[in-house]
Amino acid sequence: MLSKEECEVLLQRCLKGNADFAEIFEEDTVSEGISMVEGEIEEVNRIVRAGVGIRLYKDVQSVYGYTNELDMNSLNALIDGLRDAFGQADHDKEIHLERVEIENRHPVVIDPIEAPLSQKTQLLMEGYQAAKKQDKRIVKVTGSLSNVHQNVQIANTQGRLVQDTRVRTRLAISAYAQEGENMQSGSDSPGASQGLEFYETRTPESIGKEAARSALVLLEAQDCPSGKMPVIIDNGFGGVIFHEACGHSLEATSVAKNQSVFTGKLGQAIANSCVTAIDDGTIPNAWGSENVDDEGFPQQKRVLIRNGILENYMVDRLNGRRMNQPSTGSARRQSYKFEPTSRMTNTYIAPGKDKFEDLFEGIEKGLYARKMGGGSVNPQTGEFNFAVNEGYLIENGKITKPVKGASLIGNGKEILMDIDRVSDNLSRAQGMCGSSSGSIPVDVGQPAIRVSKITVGGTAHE
Amino acid sequence: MNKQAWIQCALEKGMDSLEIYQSLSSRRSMTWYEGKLDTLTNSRVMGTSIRGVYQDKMANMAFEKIADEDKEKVIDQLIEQAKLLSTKEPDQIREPESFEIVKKETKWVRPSNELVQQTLQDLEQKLKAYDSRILQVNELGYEEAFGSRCITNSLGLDVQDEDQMQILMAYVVAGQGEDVQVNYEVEIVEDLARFDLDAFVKKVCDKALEKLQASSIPSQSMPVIFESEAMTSLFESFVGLFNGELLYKGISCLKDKMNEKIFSDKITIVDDPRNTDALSIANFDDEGCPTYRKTLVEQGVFVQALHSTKTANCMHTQSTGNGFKSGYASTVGVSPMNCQIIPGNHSLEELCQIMNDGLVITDLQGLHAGIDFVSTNFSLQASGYLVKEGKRSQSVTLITVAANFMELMRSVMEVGNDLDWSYHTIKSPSIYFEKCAISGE
Repeated sequence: MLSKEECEVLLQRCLKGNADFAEIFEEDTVSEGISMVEGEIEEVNRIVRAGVGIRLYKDVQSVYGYTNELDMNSLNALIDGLRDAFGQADHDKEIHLERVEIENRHPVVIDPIEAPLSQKTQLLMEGYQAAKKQDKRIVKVTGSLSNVHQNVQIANTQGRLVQDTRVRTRLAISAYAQEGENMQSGSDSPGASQGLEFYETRTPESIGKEAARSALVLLEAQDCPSGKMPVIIDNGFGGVIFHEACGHSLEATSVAKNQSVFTGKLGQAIANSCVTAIDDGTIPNAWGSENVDDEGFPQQKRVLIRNGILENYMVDRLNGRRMNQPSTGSARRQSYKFEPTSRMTNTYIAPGKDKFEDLFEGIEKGLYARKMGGGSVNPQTGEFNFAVNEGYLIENGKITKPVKGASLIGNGKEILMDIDRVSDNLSRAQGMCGSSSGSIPVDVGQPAIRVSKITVGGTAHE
Repeated sequence: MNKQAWIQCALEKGMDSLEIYQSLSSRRSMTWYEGKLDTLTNSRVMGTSIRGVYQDKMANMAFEKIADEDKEKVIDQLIEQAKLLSTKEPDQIREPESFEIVKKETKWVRPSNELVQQTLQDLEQKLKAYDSRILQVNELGYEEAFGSRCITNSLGLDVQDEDQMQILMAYVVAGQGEDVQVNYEVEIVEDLARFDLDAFVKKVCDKALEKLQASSIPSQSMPVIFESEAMTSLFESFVGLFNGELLYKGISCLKDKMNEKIFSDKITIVDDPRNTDALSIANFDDEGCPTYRKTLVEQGVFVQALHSTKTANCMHTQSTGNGFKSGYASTVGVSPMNCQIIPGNHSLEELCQIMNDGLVITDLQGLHAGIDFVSTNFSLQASGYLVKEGKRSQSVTLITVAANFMELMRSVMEVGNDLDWSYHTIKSPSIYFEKCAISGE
């Protein structure tokens, strides 16, 4: 890592021109992926990434450069090229950095990078065996273990110097079930900002079993019906609905430039009063947590919507300038190769009062979406879509047959109003979220919710 | 980096072979917003990936920070990794082979920062002035990327090449009353000074305006044309069916289907990394294996899969020169390059006339989630327009289109002639299908 003195010299050079703020983000990261097919360890890849990203602002204009050539001459050349974009000038401003100590809220016992390879391959084998022995129709099992240890240092011309370490691990098992020509897959992939001790509570066996269960259900599934109907979306990864339909549109990235359906809506009712939604980057050891954001601000718990009223956006420093609002500690990036912007961390709908069973009351015909896939949204129009990986028909208030091949589409503004019941069984699940600052780990979550009507795209027509 | 010293160290420690892959990438991009330069990004990153065989097993590592004095430690880690692998088929790095070099004659003219900013400013003004319903220009940018790769191995292979591209992109918002629609276009720019801005502005804005006044339609099963861009994204999602690795693992449903009729006889698919009509070409893959043109599907019959050295070994065949990495740091996988569904004879307008009544899908969303690769079922958010009596009628949005890809590709009515590579490496013309399940109101 660059020393405090080197950072000071570089930041002073940044402000020689017309920039009014500068920041240096440096990282040193080791990541590792181990893949398994049918109980054989197929591939191991270990990657050492190290580089620096330098950013200069002039008002709301931003220039960014990154490189892995870390000698002072290369970094000076990078800065000079960036500085010139704001025109020539010769200002002298002294920078004194103050190291800010950050409390680590995400302790790690067994570092997943340092642990012996044999301990890690054992986790994959346990997941494989658990899935395989569920049923003889499980014809294939694959898995991957991903580990990362990222050290970051962030220094800026406001004198702040912060270091943080982010350690993450994730185990994914996919099971393939086959009966004749019909082949279906199921998977489970939990992860955490934690070491290998994570798998003591979330055992590889439970992960393998869940993957196999989901694949076997789909073997029996029929085509999903189409049309508008009430839908119950289960807890955990079901929270992807809020992430896509609403979360992205509350990021300053789209709000600041009037590119979101929720721009200018603070204090207004944007959801049914039973909805409270939170983005919390401080949850100990959660997948989307970190001690500081990628601009060096401490992570926060942000209430986005309280009882249906829009209370907060997720704001980074640059878009905060545009919106005349302070940062909410929401700046994130995949690596030094990306300029940070406002992103989600662990986002969820808070638990309500209803019992899960009560949600089904009065539904003559509907869909129960037990396992969701991913989705996407256009923040400008609010139109979103997401996939239902495991669904069931609801007939006369009861869960009946499993169905496959469904997706849900709608408009974020409307669906938030159409959530009419929220149960009390909150849980979270892990995902990777892609946007302009790259692919980052996030938790999505919710208790089971009921949406009074939503368009279900299926293949069956009556 | 003293590559020979690394190779010698690996061989002395008992490795069978070693390969060093290096890539240098540099990028410059600028975006423009509301009359001002919004962002500028400059970058330069050198990445080194080292892989080697120890007792028939391939170990991999990649570095952005590496020094010659690390070599002993790195080689030891590679050997430790290889000992843990349990794959049955031997893996190997490649012997050098001679090959003919195809060159693509593109005359890239690198614009100055000033010319880029002037062009973006002009472009913003033209976009805003095009029609009063163009409400906002969300994103306007120029980007250039330069990359070089170099592969050296202990068997004497030593190859290198370079690649370059320059693009302009624009994202506009059109609105009328409560209705808001967007459109995003990317265009390759050889010489910014001679680029036809007006034609680009027309294309970006017309497509956004055409989407206005769109509504959903009742759920039904109906004839559908997937317009070239939408068909390309669908084809891209399923091109992995021909991937030798997924065939070997039994995840592709084309396993055991070689020489069988899998699609309509109107479908022929060709992969050719040396096709100079496409933006980029490669004379060799990321293992140094020479590339060539191959037909994957011949009039509906599956005749060839794509292979890297590893998957070819597993399936007892030869590499097709499709061993590519998704970035310098990734391991070698199998991927198509410049792969196309061969165009037919009809323009999109003629396809609409032949269909007479039906739906044209111009845009698909959520492809990373709404596709089940194993069963090939998909259900995707779509938009487009209705065709009535052979002519474009009402615009359609917020519908889903669902089908099984294998069944769909057996129900081809006609293949269009509108294949334009643009920046794509996988491409399809428009295709008219008998029917698809549409869900809407």
